[in-house]
Amino acid sequence: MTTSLLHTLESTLHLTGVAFMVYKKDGTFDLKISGTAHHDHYLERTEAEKIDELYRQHFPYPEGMKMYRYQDIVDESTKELFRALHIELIIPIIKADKITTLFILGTKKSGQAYSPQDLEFLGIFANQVGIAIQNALAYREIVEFNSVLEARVNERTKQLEEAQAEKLQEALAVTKLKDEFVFIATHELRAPLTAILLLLEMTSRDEAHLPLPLRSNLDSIREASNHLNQLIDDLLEIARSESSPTIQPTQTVDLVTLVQQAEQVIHPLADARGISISYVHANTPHAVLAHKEKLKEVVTNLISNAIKYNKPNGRITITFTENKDSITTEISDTGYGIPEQYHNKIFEKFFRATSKEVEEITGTGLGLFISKMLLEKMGGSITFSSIEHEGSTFSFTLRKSSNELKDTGNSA
Amino acid sequence: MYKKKILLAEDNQFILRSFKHLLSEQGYEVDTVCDGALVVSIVKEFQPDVLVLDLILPNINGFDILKELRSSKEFDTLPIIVATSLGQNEDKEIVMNLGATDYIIKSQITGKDLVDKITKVLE
Repeated sequence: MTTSLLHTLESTLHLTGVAFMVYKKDGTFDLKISGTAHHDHYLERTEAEKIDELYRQHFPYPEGMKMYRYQDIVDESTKELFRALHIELIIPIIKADKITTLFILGTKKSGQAYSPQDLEFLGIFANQVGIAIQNALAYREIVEFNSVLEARVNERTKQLEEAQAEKLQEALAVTKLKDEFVFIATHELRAPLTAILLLLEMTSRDEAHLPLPLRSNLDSIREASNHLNQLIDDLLEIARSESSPTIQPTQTVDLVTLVQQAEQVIHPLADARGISISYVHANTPHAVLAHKEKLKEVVTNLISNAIKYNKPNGRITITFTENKDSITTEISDTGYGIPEQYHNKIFEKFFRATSKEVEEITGTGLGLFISKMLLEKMGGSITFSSIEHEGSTFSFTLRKSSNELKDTGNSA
Repeated sequence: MYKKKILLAEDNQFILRSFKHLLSEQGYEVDTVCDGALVVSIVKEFQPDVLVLDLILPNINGFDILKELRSSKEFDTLPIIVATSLGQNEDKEIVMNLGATDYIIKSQITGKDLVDKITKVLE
């Protein structure tokens, strides 16, 4: 397009030739030459380079645009070059102190000088064309940049896809590792522990005859083994639950019966500490949606906490409250309570509130974490309130079931 | 007096020894087998009154052993207590459907439970 423009200009003004030296960012230039009738090549590349050199040496970079006419040039070598190349006029187009284009115009074919009208026209024309050329160049740069960018985006996308595939592989490997851990925990850790617990149980039958220090050691071994057992249970529970977002199946469960059954199992613990357990509003059955075994775990955990962290001869009150769509069960104790600075951490994994009164009570720090997790997976929730030295209340809420309770449903 | 015979099919040595110790102490004659592939032949040879069968055994697993014993005329009524450490209800249903007499979860079992279950299936 530039070439045809130059050609039009050449034929309109009857010039021996017209050329553009279009400068690029790196300081090199493109040479655009009009096709000329009289010269095969109006301007050779090497000749253009001489002009470039001369321009750099002899012409200042003026503000705006200025023309360099043959007749105005004083330097002999420049004059010589102009003559040799049939140059009548050079119009530099300067932008931000840099030459963007040298517009080189040949002598008139007639040998006449340029008329003032010619010069005025060229001045306007050169400026406009300069801008057009710069735009075209910028456009080309953008196109080139776009294709580079596109290539980069494609490359990056490919890398990301590869990285994602890698991440997925890693995630799968981690899941596999976790499954393996669960398997190892169940079999390899569990088996010797089961043996220890069985042998301790057998030993306890004859323990009365043993000297007191030995019996005390056995008690400690038993306690440690039970603790380890609970820890493995808890970790397995978490490992299993974390791989499934909800607990299925959710059944219709008679809440009151389930709570009372769970309480009966651990009642000896309460008796041993002289703790009394009473119920409020337990006369009517409440049907909730839950997983029976998991809910039993939760209730057992909450009641056993209420026993463990209670004061000797304390009280536990279990209250059922019916809401519009749900049932809330409150388990309230008269124990040591939870210091306020721990209130926001109580459901965290492995967190155990410490205070002088409770430092000897053993626990894994996983019970409440698991209870909350299980309840939430069953579509329920848990909250608590506690006043230090006065007691704690844990309240869990489960959705009501619209199904009738079955008589046989609570024997598990 | 005739001692009732118990065969323990279990590959974990800790479990095996403690179960054996416990049950021998209760007056049972106890034999053990670790390899799943040998269970059926030892059952034939030892003629136990009760088989305590682990589900995960080397070479042939407990499910397949249970199926094989239940499909033979000779052992279709042999009391079999399936022992597993998995403790999952799905397993319990599967083995009960395959003809297990009872089911124990090793991680939750106490010596008393085990002895009670064996006494019960021997009645």
